[in-house]
Amino acid sequence: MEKKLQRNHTTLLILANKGDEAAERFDSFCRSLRIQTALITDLRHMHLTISANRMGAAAVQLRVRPRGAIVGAVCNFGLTPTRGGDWDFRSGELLASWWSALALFPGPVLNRPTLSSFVPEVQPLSLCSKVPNLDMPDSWISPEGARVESPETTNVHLLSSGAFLGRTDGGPITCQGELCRFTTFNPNSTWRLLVAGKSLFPLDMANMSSDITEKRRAMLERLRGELTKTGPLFCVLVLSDTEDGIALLAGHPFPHYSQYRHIDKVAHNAALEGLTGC
Amino acid sequence: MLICLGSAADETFTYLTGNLLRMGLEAHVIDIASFAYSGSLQVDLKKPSQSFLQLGQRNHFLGDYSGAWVRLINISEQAPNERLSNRSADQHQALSIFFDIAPMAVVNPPSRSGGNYAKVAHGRILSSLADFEMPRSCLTDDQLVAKEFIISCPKGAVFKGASGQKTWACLYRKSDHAERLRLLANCPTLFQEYIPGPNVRVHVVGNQAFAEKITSPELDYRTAKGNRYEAISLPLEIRDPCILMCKNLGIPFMGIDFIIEEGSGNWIFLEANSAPCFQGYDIRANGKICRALGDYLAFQEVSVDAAL
Repeated sequence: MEKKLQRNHTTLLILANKGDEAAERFDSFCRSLRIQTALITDLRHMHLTISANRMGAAAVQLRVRPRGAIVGAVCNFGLTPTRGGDWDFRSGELLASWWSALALFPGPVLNRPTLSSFVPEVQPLSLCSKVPNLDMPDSWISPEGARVESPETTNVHLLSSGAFLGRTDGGPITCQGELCRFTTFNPNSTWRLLVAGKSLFPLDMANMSSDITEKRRAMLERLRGELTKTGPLFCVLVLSDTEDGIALLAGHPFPHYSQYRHIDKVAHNAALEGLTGC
Repeated sequence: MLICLGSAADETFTYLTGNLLRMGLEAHVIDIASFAYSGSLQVDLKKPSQSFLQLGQRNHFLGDYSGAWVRLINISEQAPNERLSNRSADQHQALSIFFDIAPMAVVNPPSRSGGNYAKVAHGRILSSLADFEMPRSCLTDDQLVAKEFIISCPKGAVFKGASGQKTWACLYRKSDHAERLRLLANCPTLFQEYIPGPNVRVHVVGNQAFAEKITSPELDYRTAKGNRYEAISLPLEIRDPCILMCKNLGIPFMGIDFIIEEGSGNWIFLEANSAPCFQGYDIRANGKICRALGDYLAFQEVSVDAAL
């Protein structure tokens, strides 16, 4: 599969924030297969041109500065435009330009932006409304000072950053941030799922029910179908087995390397397969 | 009962809110700046109707409302201190989530309104959905590419920002702008062929569309005096795709811009805006847009399942 990228002498562009270990490891993996890559952490190192004719047909050309290597495929690991003196306006324009470029890029894109979002839409509110019978957990947003005494295990995250604040197993817990998101779940039936390319990899086998029913298989297939409608992805979902099927507790659009370290080669290979369609 | 949530400093928000009240619709009005100072909220993501906003001594249970006029502006950067800024940003995020899942008619669900941020992709995808023509365009950070594109436009070229941030469309003039093309390396810019002809603004509200033709002495009529405005009936081949586009996007209220090309008479799609400043158009249309919005908010039935 890597021969496709080798043969046409184009570069695989990997967009990521500086220090993103998942992107760095994926870059090393691709290089070990002699695939030409460019790991870009500052958009100022790229040239971008989108041309569209009257009928809307678009051509997108992405080139790495200064040598001009032409990009044939893109992996979007999430990238925050670099701040400059007038960063508010400029970073907004850069983000909008790259959003358009990746949405319209004719070659394969891992984590392609959609009409409504630059990052993959893997949050429970979004996915549960699209995938029949994929359950929402009991989840709510409460202000600072709200005390929760839930009979079930409850995780607390900051709404703004998604940072994990704490967990209660029935005792009281207080929201320490401005607004927090509370999610109840059963820790014994919770497992994570890596979506790499168009393949799914359960990451916590110990917690997965050994009884993989037809119903559950069908649910995962529906989930895969919905997730990959816009092309190959690289993301992690946190799921929980319920009496009726599966609940989606959380979605991480750009996984941390630590989440899938134990299967990194298989995962990177699947991501690459998703890009090359092999 | 309606709930209206927006900024008291936003003329578009206060214009429609005032009109809804004058139409006799019952509404509770919440200013997001006041809410940032002393309000709080609880959003139940699984059972949205049990969510509530609290302002002063009053709880507003969202299950009690049948419709919402929501114009959320992120005012966090104007806050006088960091704590209030963070609070306001958090509330903006939570309210956006809530009104996306609210079991009521919402004009407009906040997250479905964000797409126009990436203008080129938005325009390209929407124009292809509706089978509209759009101006030849080139978004680039390369001055040589920009020069080639400008040369390829016999009637001239226009340039503007690539994002949803407000910029004015300008006609490229070699004497004024050629020297500045080198600055493109710092920030990509959107160039489009200049298409002479009158502008048309279409406002879609649910299944209705209202159109006005604007003939202006300036390229960007928003900056001009002496414009001529004329209410027009839309050809069905424009009207129906506009309504269908809004339906497909799940956005009940949009402002959609066209140019009618001089000579060919072709309708060229420019962009669609889900947070239009529509008050000027509505005043000239004798309040038709406001009445349509009022009817939509008062009578549109939305089931909980449909909202989710």
